[in-house]
Amino acid sequence: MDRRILVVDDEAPIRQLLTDAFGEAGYQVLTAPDGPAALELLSEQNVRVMIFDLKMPGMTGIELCRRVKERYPISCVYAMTAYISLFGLSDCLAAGFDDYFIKPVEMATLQRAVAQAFEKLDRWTKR
Amino acid sequence: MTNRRKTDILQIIAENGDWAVTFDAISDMILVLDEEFCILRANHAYLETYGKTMDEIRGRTCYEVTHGNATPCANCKRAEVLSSGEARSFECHDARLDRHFDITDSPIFAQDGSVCATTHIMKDITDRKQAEEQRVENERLRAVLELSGAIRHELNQPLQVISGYADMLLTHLDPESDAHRRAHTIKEQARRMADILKKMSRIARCRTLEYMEGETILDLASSAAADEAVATTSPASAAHDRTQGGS
Repeated sequence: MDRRILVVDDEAPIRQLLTDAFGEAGYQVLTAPDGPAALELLSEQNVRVMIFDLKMPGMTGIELCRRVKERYPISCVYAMTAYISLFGLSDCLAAGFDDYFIKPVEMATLQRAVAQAFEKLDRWTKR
Repeated sequence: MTNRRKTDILQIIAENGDWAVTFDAISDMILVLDEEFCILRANHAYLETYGKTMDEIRGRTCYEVTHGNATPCANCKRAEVLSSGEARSFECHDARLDRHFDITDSPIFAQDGSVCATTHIMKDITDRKQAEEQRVENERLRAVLELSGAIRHELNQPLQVISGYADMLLTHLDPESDAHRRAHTIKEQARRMADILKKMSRIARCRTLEYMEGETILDLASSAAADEAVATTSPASAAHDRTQGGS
């Protein structure tokens, strides 16, 4: 499987950070500033590991995750948010997020999670 | 007090003897006081609350029996009632009972039109006062939570960028170099800020501490609930350990 990940965040410095960190670790990083742009990108590119911000203008990360999981059930989607309540966590689980991280999160932690996501997807797709 | 005035009061009370049943039925405490604060009558609610009989308190001052004080209460309005002939109300806290009362003193007029006594009605408002205090506390807490949510949302974004790039620098720099030490300091200070913001997410009450002379600020340490409370109720609690500082 291509080591390709999608980062969706309306904060440009966050997108740049993850591009730098994951790019350096050998991943190809695609980015989108919002939900509609992410869906368009996914319709053109095969990406199955994603990191979404939750609070974005227009479509929230939760709504985006719901749509992505409908279309691409074999995928790993992580929420990465600056703030979340317990109610928000419940919505995250219902939307299909595989896990969540509260900013600021260690880069090593994120990289471990992404590596595990690829291992998991490999098991599902290469039987 | 002259004998004549005392006769006036007692006559008024005697003529209205049937009202005793009514006053005893009222849950508010009611006293009839003469000009020198001495108790002439007390209803059942008062006697029961203070565990006294009428014979034990008759002729003793209200401040002595009610509060155990040797002088009238500082905020007592009876003097105004006696001089103006108009009713007055004030709030009072009985430290011995730890109850709050809304007290209304109303004049009783002698035959010559002067004020010869007062009724002293003590309405227990403790529950109402506590509910009001709770409401104010809840509103205050809600405002603090809204503000802390906004602060966390706004500050965690740049903090992620600072912390993330510090992580990257630390992996590249020679651990013995000054640059590594400086990057490490940036990382540690970012972690410290993250801990403060994390604490803000656990605010469960508003406790303040004195910051500068006459200035108070929110005491984050005592206002925040224990960390475990959040982690154990989180559907994905493990992820909390994987945020800043954890691994």
